[in-house]
Amino acid sequence: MLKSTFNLGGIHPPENKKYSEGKKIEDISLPEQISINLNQHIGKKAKAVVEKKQEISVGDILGEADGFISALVHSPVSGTVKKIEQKMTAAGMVESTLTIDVNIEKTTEDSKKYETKKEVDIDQTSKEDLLKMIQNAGIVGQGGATFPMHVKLSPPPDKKVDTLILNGAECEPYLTADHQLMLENADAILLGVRIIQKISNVTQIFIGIEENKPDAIKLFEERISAAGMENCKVSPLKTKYPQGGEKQLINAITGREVPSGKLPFDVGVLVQNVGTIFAVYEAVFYEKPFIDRITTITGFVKKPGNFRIRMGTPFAHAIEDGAGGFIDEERVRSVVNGGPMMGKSIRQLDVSVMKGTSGIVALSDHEFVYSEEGPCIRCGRCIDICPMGLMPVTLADDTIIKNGAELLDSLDCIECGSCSYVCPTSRKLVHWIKIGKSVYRTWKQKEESYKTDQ
Amino acid sequence: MRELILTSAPHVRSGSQLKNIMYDVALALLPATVWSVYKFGMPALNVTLIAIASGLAFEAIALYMQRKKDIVAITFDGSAIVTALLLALNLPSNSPAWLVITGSFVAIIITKHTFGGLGYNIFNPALVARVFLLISFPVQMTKWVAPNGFGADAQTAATPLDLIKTEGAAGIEKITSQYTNLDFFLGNTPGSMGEVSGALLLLGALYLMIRKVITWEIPITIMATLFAFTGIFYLVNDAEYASPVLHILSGGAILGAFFMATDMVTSPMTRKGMIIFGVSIGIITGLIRLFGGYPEGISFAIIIMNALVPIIDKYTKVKKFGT
Repeated sequence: MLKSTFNLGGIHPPENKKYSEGKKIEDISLPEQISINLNQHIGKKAKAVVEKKQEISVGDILGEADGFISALVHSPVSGTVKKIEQKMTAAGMVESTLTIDVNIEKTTEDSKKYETKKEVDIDQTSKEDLLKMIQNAGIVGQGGATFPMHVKLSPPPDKKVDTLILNGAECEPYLTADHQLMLENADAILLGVRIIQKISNVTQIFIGIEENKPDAIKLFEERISAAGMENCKVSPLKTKYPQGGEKQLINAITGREVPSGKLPFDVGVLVQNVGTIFAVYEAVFYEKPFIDRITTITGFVKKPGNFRIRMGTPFAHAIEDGAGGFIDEERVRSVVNGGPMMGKSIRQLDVSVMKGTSGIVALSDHEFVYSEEGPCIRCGRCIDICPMGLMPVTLADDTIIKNGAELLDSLDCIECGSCSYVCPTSRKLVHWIKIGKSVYRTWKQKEESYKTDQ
Repeated sequence: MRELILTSAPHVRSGSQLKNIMYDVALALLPATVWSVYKFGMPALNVTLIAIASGLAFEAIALYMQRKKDIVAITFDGSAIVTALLLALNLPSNSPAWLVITGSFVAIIITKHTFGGLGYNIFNPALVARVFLLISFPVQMTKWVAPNGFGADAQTAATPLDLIKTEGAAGIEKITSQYTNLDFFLGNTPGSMGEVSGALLLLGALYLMIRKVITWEIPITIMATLFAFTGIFYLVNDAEYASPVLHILSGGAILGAFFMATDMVTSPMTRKGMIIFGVSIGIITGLIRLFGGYPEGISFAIIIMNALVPIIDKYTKVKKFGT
């Protein structure tokens, strides 16, 4: 089997997927209260369209998209809006958040409408209608960047997209949600692929899966030939982090390099996460908005596994009800929203699941070791492993000593965290580079506002 | 439940630590050190122990003067021990204690800590100390002892490179009649403590390469360049110039190329830069050995190139993805 991989750098962190690997997807029970924030995607945050004390039911729109690069937010439950307040989210930002008292019986009743499959003939449905369905479902990329799906599917007319890559690499340690989803819903995902194919007119489709998931590779090869999809192929990938990074994946599978500062459609490629595709399938065939997702709850918990979880469910409830709680509360040091390499650690367990929550990982004092930043000893390891061919140590130092205009290079960083991972003196390299990015963007904004003033 | 710790990603780390790197280097130097004690006897052990003790003491004093926390932890992070071991290997085995302590002072206090401590020094501490001692105390620093084995009487002798420098063609003849290439490799020639155990130094270097502490670029390019450079002159006139094999096996070439030039802090960060660095050191070493005033030139070559590292780093950026 020919395995592809990206050209530059890469690391091999311990996978630690064994905790939740192969665990059937289970539902997590409804909590008594959920909180939904209105900024769960990249772009402009949604505008609240409900009021305090308003009765709502499953699938109602809570937030309207504000502009083109924005996404709808639907209610995952039936109940009453209790308050609208500024609250810390699982992504570490303070956003306007709706707290909803859940009517559990009514929610169960109302959710039944999403259980019957509609008769949809993809070939007979127009592109525009399909795109509209996706937009109306409020789907955003589930891989982590949470880019609104309908925007990604509408590239500028001068960009020709010929290749669709389905991202099933799941290179983050610990996480197994995508893997399990692929195993349980292969046919549904392939139907989703056909929807995307219809919308974007791609001529070739690759499904990128890391070789540590041989069962998924085999299953997809079987289902593809059963479905007779001739232009669709499984691409087994080497297990290496960050294989699932968009630019790395394109490089591994097609050999194309997305130019610095450009996007995948500049090289004619569209990349979609398998979870996102599954949401597209549900939106088209069940008219179901994006109100729940598959998430791995793992690490230092009693019953790690893969769960179907409604947006807004508090982490505390998810960990307690789904994963049976922590093994030893006193030894938990860090809880991460997402994977341990790129996820965000949270301060308190009252934050809730968002559209981008691919995992909830609890780390014990054994796995999570905090150490102070030491001096750089110029070993160059960060340079050797950077998958973008950058010099992380230089970028980090630039952030500290240079001003905005000189930080352009930091925009190439994909924030995979490999540099901080390998650093022998625990320097927070990627952290500094992220700060450098925002310093540059702020400078750029100011610069442009001066220009328009004159 | 305890309060959760809020940190920026990534939340897991490789566990690779400064301490492991430094103690790996110390471990790699151990066989050569033990061998030189075996060859030179008690005085060599004294030099090694005095170097380590004074090195650690100066490190602790420097950290105390900078009001650092965790003085004990930083003192024993391994970097001071590595510097001390390298310094010892660069000295004659019968060096008096004051010479070793002066060397430690120059290495740790002046070369390392006045520039900001670990990671900020521009020059390799042990090498600056060696060169300082060589220039300031030429008599003590060139009194080499023949390696006659543990317990034997100390006999001073000239190193092969000394002979070549002072006696020219006659010296080369003396050397080739007295020693075989294997003698150079196994360390049966007079020299500093580290100059006489090429085979064991290479063993240590191999360990460091397997542990990925050092990469091949710097040492191999130094050796290859030095070999090629001296080889050209040897081919032109083999009476006047010593053979390239003798050049790479004698003197501090192995110690310098594999352990001193590869010091992370004072060498370039990119692979391309490392090759430029290595080639330049090889050429400068050859120039000094063949045409300079000193018999051995690798210390000077490395120090000169240490000074140029910032420029090398500036012009050897790696190729960015997508450009």
